[in-house]
Amino acid sequence: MATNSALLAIIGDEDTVTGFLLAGVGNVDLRRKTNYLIVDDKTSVKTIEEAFKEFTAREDIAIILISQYVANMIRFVVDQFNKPLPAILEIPSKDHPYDPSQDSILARVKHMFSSDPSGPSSRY
Amino acid sequence: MEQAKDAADDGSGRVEEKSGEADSTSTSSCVSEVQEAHEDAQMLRLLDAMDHLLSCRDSLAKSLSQGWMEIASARYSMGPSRIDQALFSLKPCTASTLVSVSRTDELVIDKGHVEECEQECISQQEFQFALQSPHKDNPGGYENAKSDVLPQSQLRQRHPSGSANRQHTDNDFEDSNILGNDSDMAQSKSRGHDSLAWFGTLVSPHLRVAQSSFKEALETVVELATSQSTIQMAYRQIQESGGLVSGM
Repeated sequence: MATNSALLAIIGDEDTVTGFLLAGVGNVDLRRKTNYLIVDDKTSVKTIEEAFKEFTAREDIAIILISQYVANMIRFVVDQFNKPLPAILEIPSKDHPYDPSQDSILARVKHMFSSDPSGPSSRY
Repeated sequence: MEQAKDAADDGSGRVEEKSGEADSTSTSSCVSEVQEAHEDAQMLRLLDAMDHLLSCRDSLAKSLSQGWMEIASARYSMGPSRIDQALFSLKPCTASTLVSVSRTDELVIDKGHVEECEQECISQQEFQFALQSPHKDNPGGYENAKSDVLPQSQLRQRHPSGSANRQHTDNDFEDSNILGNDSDMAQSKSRGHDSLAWFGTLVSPHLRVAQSSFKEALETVVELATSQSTIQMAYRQIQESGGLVSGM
């Protein structure tokens, strides 16, 4: 069993990111690159998408926490990513509670036990 | 007599054929039973992991909502400008909480399958995640491990014996200075680790409670990631063995 140490990355609203940074997951490298992105009204979808792609490309990140409403904004990119590492976890945010039907993993498993032939992508 | 012998030979041949067929059918039924048992085990693993995932989701939602509530209370008592993203430190610092990632191969049932799995691509691997917080076991964290070296070098500096060793002691002094600088850097880094300091020296107790809530949430997140990895792996294995749904 090979063991490695890695970071967590967060994409979410200000309070969620603040909380996780208080818990000690914040990392700033020498090039001032952070492992978090605060999403507010002014953040564009392109910025979120680029941050997500950057975090998934980094080898020192093992888990990416992304607020579900932010994941919905870049759902195509999130669903396209099917590697086990980094693990993508959709978490609730302050204003948007967690909806299990929108989670790609749960939707896949639900499809497995259902007789609906339309597949998990039919939820959109 | 010869006809009787031929008939006896034919009879014994038929019996052998029949016994061969019976052996092959029993072997195939054994194989199918083993396969079914394997699929059942995979399905049970998937369902167990799903159950764990859903319970973790509940506890994550609880600890997160408590954390948000405490942050809101802290913002109310300290003022909105005192808890703001503009106060986040952008100085280079390493995270104090890391995640240890380990690949689990022993969960795959038979040994031959393990070898196959190693040859397969990374998307077929299962991972276990665990929190790796250096401050939990060792209050000084990783930095204390470095600063443990410092007293030895200082001792060497205190006991210079003879002129022949003077050059060595000078070198040791330089080394100790370097180590000292390292430890200073480490100390400044560890100071940067306490993210509460970003919001001032006297912070609201609500912010400390929020910190502990989010630490709890982190532990749940790590469990969630492990369950999710188990689900993905079990899902793929069921998919490969032609599981429940024809579309799989």
